[in-house]
Amino acid sequence: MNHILLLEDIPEIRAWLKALVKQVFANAQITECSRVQDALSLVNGQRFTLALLDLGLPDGSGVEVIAALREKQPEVQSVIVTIHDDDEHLFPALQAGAFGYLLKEQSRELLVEQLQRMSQGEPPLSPSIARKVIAYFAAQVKKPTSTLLHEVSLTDRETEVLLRVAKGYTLPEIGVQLGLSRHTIADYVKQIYRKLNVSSRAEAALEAQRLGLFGRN
Amino acid sequence: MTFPIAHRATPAWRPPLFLLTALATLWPVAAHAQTQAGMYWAVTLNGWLAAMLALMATIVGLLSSLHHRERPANFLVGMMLSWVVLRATAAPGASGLRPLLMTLLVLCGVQFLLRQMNWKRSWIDHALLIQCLVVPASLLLTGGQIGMLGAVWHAVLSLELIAAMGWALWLRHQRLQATPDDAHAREFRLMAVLLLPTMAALLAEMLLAAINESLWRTASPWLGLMLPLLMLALGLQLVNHVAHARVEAEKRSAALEQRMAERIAEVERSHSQLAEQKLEQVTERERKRIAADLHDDLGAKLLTIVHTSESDRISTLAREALEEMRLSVRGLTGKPVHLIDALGDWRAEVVSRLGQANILAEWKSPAEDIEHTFQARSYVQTTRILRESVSNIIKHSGATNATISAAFQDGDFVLTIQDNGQGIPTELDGRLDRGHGMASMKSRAKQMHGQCLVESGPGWGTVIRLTIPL
Repeated sequence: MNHILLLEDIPEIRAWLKALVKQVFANAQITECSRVQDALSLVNGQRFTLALLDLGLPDGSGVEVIAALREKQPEVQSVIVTIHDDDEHLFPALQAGAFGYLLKEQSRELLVEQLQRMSQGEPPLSPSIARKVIAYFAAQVKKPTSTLLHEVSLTDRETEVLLRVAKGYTLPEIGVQLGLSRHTIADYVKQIYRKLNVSSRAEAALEAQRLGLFGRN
Repeated sequence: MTFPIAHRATPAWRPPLFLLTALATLWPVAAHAQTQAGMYWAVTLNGWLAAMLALMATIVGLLSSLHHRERPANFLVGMMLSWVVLRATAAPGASGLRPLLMTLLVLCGVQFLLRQMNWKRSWIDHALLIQCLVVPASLLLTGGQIGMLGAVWHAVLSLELIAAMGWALWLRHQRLQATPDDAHAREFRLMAVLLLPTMAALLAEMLLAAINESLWRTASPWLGLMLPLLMLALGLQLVNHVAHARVEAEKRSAALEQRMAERIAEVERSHSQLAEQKLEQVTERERKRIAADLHDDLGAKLLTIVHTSESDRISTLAREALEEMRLSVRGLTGKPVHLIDALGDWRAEVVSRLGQANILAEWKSPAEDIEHTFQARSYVQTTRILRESVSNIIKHSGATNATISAAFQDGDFVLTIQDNGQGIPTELDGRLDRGHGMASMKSRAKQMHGQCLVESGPGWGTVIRLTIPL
């Protein structure tokens, strides 16, 4: 059975989201909370399958919960549900390990469709996020050597998909262009998100090492 | 040179140098006839030179007292004054002073020539001072019988001067070898022209005095002119040097002022740059704060309306208001947007929106790489126009196909949005556009100094042509 964590501070929106989730996952158990602290303690005590997390909360950001889930329950799919549609908010969330993001003002129908797609392993990817990801990995290549970075660099195919997304092609269109199934293209996008998270964590670890947080050998 | 010691030395003491008598016999006999007139001119010239040297000594003395770097010139002053006084003591009564004056002259000459080149040796200083005592004292001890001792001292003093001149030239030559530059080369040439004839004159006088007294008597007043001429030239050179140094100093100070002004301008520039940067940072922070506030408060409320309103119309309005809010916040400041990125954003949005509405979308944009950028404001306005057009197609047109093409024509960006719907009814066009937003699209285009043309007719669809100068 699905156990879904719902973190949202505005009661009306929370109620609306809950109804929406119920529509997609009819039998799911939904645990609601409105503060980052509550979400963090819930993550410590219970197992979840999906987490819908708001970014701007009174006591912090949903990104903290993504990080905690990444560490304690890595199998959980964290999805950002936000009013912010800008890269400055979305990119750090994706780096922290979010599986995807939903914009709150979208129509119910579209949100339901996106949530369904996500549950089937097809995360959304906008052109501006794709450009950011390309730039991020391009910058990673130029950085000093790291044994971890080889593992998390993008393949040619992944880069190709990103470039086409950046040009405004939809995932189904790219599937047709590359002669690949919708499912395969979705796998590429998932892989890209995963690498984004691994790479940023490797980067954080390197940075921590550089600052001597792990002591010197 | 009229070294009176030699003058008084009897010819008997002079060792005959037969080898050089040949040179003496070459002196034209005619010269003897003119001796009296020549002597007169030589003496007159000597007088003039003495007067000029006295004046020059005063000038050089003043200069050296004002310029610390010209200290060695004091020795030149000493040399000049010694010579002038030596001239004045030609009268027999004062002859007792002459040996002292001559040694002083040599002391000053040697020290000036060597110190000019920064060549100092304490043994030379001491030896020259001792010489000043020894020479007059030894001559006094002879009690008037100066004779051979006088000739010896005369020769020694002359050789000292010649050696100092030679050494000064040699040192200059060495310096030129070490650092070959134009100024050093010029100075070396000038000093060679001045010193070599003087050295030759001093040597010639010594030799003539040794081999041919009558010839020596004729030539001596002329040869003796060389040393005062040299001193005059050295004095002039010094004055010239000081004048040049002053010009240089003025140039340097002008350059310094220029550099200072440049530095000040640079500091001012970087300061204003810093202030600008700070202002930008503050603006950016403020923009982010306003954006966050708007999202958290206004945005949350609009969102609540979007998702709780019973009326579709109200929730649509609230959603559009939310979009507008976002565009406005982003448009406040903002970096230029690359057109290629903008086209990507627009394509993704337009194609997926039309796709959801089951309208077949065709997007045409230039295949080649696009280098142009858009002002953030233009990007926002164009996005609004495009969004409005697509909303019209979805809501009102009943179209099944839409073609959106982006192109560059004569420095303009041209966006054409065409559908195969029912078109805009004529009675609504212009007057009452009933939510079609044509008027706002046109005014937005105008804000970008562009234009938005709408062609429509019942049954043959609508074409919106947006032209924006880049």
